[in-house]
Amino acid sequence: MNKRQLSALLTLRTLGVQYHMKSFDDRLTVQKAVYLAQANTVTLGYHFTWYLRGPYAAALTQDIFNAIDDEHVDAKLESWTLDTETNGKLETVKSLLTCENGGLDRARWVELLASSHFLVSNRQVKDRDPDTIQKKLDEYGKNYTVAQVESAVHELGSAGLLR
Amino acid sequence: MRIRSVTDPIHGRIELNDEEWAVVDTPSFQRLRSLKQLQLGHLTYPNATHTRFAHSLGVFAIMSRILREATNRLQLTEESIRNLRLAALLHDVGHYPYSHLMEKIDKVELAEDVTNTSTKLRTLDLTQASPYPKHETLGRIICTKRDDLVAALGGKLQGEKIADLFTKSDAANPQLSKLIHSSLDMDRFDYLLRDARATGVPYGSVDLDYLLSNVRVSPEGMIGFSYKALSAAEQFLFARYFMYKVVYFHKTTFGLEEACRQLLRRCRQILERRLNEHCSGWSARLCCSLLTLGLTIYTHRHRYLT
Repeated sequence: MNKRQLSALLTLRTLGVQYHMKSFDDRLTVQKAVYLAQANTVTLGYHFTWYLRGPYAAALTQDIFNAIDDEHVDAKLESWTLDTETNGKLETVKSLLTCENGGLDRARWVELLASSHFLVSNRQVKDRDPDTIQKKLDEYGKNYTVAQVESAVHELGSAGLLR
Repeated sequence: MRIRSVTDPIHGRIELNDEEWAVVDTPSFQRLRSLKQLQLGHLTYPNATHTRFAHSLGVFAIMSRILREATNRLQLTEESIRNLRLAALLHDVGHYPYSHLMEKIDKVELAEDVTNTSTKLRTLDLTQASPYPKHETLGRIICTKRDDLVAALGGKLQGEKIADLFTKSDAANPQLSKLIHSSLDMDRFDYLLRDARATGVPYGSVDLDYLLSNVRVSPEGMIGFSYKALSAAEQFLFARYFMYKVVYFHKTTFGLEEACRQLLRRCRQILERRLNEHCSGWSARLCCSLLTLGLTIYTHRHRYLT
């Protein structure tokens, strides 16, 4: 296991995200959770681009699949921990993943958070007005209400991920 | 206002007004003459010795063209036009010697294998961020703190406004800063054309004229290209892909750059014991040649020091 794979797994463990990726929602949540961790300046070395369900890094999927191929991966992780500063940053992200989410299930909520952040930080929308973001998400076939987008933008702002 | 011109092999005649000429004439900008655009790329492609100075003028030339052709469509004020031209000129002013090579000198080695055979709990430290800011951040410091540039730009506040554009700060209009840094920006147009010309590879061609004449603003105020230019935009993306594959990630250059980074880290360890100066203080005055001289002296230190 290399440092990047280890960092990603430890990040997911700290965020309380299932990294064994048994379902599509698991895979989606892994991608978006790592994206948000990087957005909160946790250095993991992945490059995200927009794909069908929002920000996506092919290298991340590859890394996680390679890492979990090892049947002793859970035991190996037991002997590692992340530094205090990174843990603090991840706590902020964790609270985002579990906060009041406008009635969405976790995968859809995390997808909304990461997608909204990506659109704003990559200047894909003119401003961070929820209405504008919702319209852009709608163009990409994502069915969110303005209220849900507003909630996501508010939470991202409160957590300091959107300034 | 007197217009002066510079001749460039890519863009032909580049015209600068008094203020822009004064900026080019500052020591801070002239330093770019000594920074190679492709770091150690000239060791693989012998003709790739072009500099950040020429590239900065090239980006300025493209920006001037786009502003000439699309000012009405973009509905820009005189001040915005001035700031965009200067931001294009100064977007690389904060580059370190050897450009991106130095920027990544302390990059966390994420590909390194890790083992922990003992049962003792170990901590993985992900905070080893480099103390060296990105070149855009250093560019902001230079635009707002170096006396020569502050004077040429007409004050610190003007320097801030220009830096806001090339650092994609929230204070700048995001649609305008997109012209300098985005997937399809003036910076990339120039470096693809210039690097392809200098290295001699046939992959970097971009249909610049067609793309620039098809810049449009959507009803929502987003800057982009008309649908007609889709093939030209796609061709630009392919050109970029091939240039990265063939030139920027060339195995020899890549290996040499990593060797150079390791050598620089070693030099720093030795220097830091003697000089207690922060990087941003001295790096703004350094150039590739000076650093090469330092490296040569270092590698032959036994000959000089004994």
